[in-house]
Amino acid sequence: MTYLLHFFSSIRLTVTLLCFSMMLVFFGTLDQVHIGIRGAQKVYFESYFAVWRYPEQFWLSDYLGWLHIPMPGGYLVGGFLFINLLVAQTRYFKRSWAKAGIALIHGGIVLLLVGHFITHLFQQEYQMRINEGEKSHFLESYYDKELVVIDETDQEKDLVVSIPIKRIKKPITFQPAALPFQLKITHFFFNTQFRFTSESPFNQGVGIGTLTLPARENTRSDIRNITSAKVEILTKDNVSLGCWLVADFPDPQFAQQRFMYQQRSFRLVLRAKRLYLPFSIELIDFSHDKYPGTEKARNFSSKIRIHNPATKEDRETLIYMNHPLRYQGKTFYQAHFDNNDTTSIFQVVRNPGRLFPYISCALICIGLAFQFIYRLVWFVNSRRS
Amino acid sequence: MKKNFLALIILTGILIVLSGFRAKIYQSDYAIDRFAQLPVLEGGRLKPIDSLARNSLLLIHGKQTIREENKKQAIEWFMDLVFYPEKAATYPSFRIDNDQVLGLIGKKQDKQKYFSFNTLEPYINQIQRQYRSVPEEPLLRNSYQQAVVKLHNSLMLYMRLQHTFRPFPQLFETVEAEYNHYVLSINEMWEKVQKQGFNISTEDYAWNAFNEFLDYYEASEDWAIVYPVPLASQTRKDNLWFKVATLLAGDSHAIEKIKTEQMDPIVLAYAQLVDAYRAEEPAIFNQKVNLIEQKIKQRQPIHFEKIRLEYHFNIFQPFYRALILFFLAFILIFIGWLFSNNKTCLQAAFWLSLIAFALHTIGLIIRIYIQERPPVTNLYSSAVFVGWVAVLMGILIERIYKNGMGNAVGAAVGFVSLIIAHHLSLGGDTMEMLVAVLDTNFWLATHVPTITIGYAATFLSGFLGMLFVIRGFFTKSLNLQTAKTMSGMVYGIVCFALFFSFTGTVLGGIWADQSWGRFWGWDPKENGALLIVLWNAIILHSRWGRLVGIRGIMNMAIFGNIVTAWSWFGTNMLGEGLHSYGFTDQGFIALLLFCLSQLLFILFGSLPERYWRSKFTL
Repeated sequence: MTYLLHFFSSIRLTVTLLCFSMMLVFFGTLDQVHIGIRGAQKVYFESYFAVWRYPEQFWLSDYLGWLHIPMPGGYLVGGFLFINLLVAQTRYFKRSWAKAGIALIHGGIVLLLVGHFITHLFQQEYQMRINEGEKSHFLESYYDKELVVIDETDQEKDLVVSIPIKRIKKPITFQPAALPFQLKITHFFFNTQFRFTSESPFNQGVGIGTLTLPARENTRSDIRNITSAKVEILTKDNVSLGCWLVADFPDPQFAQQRFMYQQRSFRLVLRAKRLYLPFSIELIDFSHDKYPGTEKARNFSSKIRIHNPATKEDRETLIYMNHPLRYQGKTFYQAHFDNNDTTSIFQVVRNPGRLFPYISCALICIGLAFQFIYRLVWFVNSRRS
Repeated sequence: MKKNFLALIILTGILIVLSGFRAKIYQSDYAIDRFAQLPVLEGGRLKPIDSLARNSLLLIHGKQTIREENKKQAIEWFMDLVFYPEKAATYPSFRIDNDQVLGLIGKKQDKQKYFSFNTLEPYINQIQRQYRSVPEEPLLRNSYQQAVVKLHNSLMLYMRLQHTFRPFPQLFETVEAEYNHYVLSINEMWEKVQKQGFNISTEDYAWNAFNEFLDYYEASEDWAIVYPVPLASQTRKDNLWFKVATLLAGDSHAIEKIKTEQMDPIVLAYAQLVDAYRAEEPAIFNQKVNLIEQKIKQRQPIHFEKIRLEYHFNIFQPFYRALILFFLAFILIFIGWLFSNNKTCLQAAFWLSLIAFALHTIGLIIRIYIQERPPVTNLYSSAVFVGWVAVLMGILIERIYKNGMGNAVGAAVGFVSLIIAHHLSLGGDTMEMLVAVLDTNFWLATHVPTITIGYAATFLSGFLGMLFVIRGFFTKSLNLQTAKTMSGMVYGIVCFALFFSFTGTVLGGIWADQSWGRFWGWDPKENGALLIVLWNAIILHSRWGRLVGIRGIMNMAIFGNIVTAWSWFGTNMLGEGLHSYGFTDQGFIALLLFCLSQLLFILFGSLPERYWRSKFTL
């Protein structure tokens, strides 16, 4: 028992773990050259174990290609550091001014790790695309996708049945409660290659004449994965109404695949997962100023109008670089633009753990400043005598 | 004797400073200095012609002067380029190092590396073709492709600059004659239109002549990149500067104006400037320069003092002079150490460092004033600032310890960082405008300097570590007392470094959170900063836990140099998802060599005691 206590409170463990974390950060940074930042994040920081392979591009890769460096992953290192910090601080705690700074620093670090954990669990990130002169009342997830069947019969409103794609990764046949027919979903590919063929499995809509094959998943942040699936609509008596190709391909035809059943009109789409908002945002104008005589961006700004029927709000405001809109627990940031400066794209974030880094870092800074000024004063005094 | 020596050194330092104030550096009847101070808009920024000339020559030639018969300053080269292009085309303006590019133009390596426009002109089409086949993404280019891009861009810049003050090449003997013909042509056309309406046959001579002018001036407008002519304005909006060709034919307003009023006086004055220079009439040239300056003042309330200040800053080159002084200070300290800590040498070196620091500070302040921005806005200014912080810290440490070491490492870091800065300045305008995401003085004034101070402090401790190894391994001068003192210095500096690098990293996170919604994104630059924080923390924990002794701390401090160099430069070279590690980046070799040199120091520092010339353990 005492051995465990010694082990978990030892400074050797701290230094070893800090060195491992440096390894993770360094090799993760090198590897994002191949697998992108998100890929590196998953492999090195959101894992228990990671291995770095000597890259082909390096010198002597013919001879050193066998070099694989294993290391504990972020969860393991972070977890042990957390325990080490708690155990060491409680074990060696001394109530003295000399140690006050250190206690504050480490307390702040604990808070930082806790906050990071909370963010990891609860943060939601979306994007919102709005064309000039138009309104939008939903957000789109960056990575999550959904298959939707929309009952468009009613002029006033649509009934949207959303199926998260994690349910359709394996072939499945089921009837959603709100729909009068079954969906048989097969050939799900997270990233897809498309081929033209005369023997296409699709006999309706955009997919006629097309064949889909799986493609390797992209983790680079600038290349999209095109997810696709084959959806067959079956009546209760298993009569097939047709086989559609659904995919989140940017071509507008993919969003317009319709069919009729029992005098109702339905639309079938595979798209980024949407979060519908109780309010809408209208983009009045997007401006993109450049420095005269250059293509360098000087600023981007969006003039928007918030329409909120519940709170009866109807007001204009500006969203621009370094100045986001904070509204109803979400923050809207000017992220990108498109279509020759006529479409504005916002990043929308909901992060309940948002304040943790501020508080914890303030604590750590105060602790550091206190500790070092304390030592500095001691040093100056000792030199005087 | 000692006092005389001290005075002599300080005098030398002051002379080096004053040499920057040379009044008349141009042997010429032309008012080159006044011409150089005329303002133009380029790259989105209002600047003196002198800056445009220097930056252009730096990009094309790699230096701010060019050797053609005698040494010409950038502005003199520029004047020939824009006024007397036939002559300028014979100057060895273009620098080419890459052997494959040299092969493209039929030259061998090691013979010469500077070529004239005339030599390169026959190969322009080939170079264009090569340029078009180069990958768009810079990180994916090999060194040949990078050299092709560089040469192509230099040629384009050279050709575009020729359109700055008048459309190029001129159609008549003098530019003024050309404009007179143009005005005549406009008036002829207008009369015809009055009589016949717009039903003018395409065979009509006047119609053809007019259209030729139009096509010609419109082409020139596409080529030009400089906006030298302001129009009248009540405010300081700089989007009211125009290219010469725009005011000739760029839009219908221009032609209307010429017809009803006259040719724009500044456009005309610049034309007369060209003619006067070509006709070798300095008196007229100087007169026109004054006229242009007057007219610009009338039209736009710009801050001429800033333009003038930038001109004098360019001439004075405070960072270059500071560099020399740091070098001298460093040499003096070593001499002082050789002669058993000669106090006079150390004092003299201290004074030189102070003078250099004053220069360095003045340079920084001038840059802040001209740009109206906090001190660090791009890689170049980060290098200058790192040097400044390190020197300041070195001076403060020297005041405390008075043993020459603080001064030595401060001067060393100052010297190295200013050399790095010089290399970074070869890439273009160091006072370039900032992209939208950086357009926030608050974060530029808080996050960026804090992180840079963290860099400087880590480098300072690392250089002290190197000094420790040199003294201990190669000389007998390291005794226990000195070792303990140095250990104390390193400890203090590392504490300082940890505070600033941590705070700086956090401020960066807060900026990211405020700007694009996430505090930490694990991107290479953020990771690099985190590595510095982690390493400084490891040093302190190791020391506290007595896991290493004095030698270990010094070695770890030297390793901190590698971590910081990686964070500062290495992370910029990586391409996300591009399978490119930036090996063909220009700075890659330098970074690699630096890291290897540091590893060498650590190697020496790790050798067992018995190999060390100094014995400093109990």
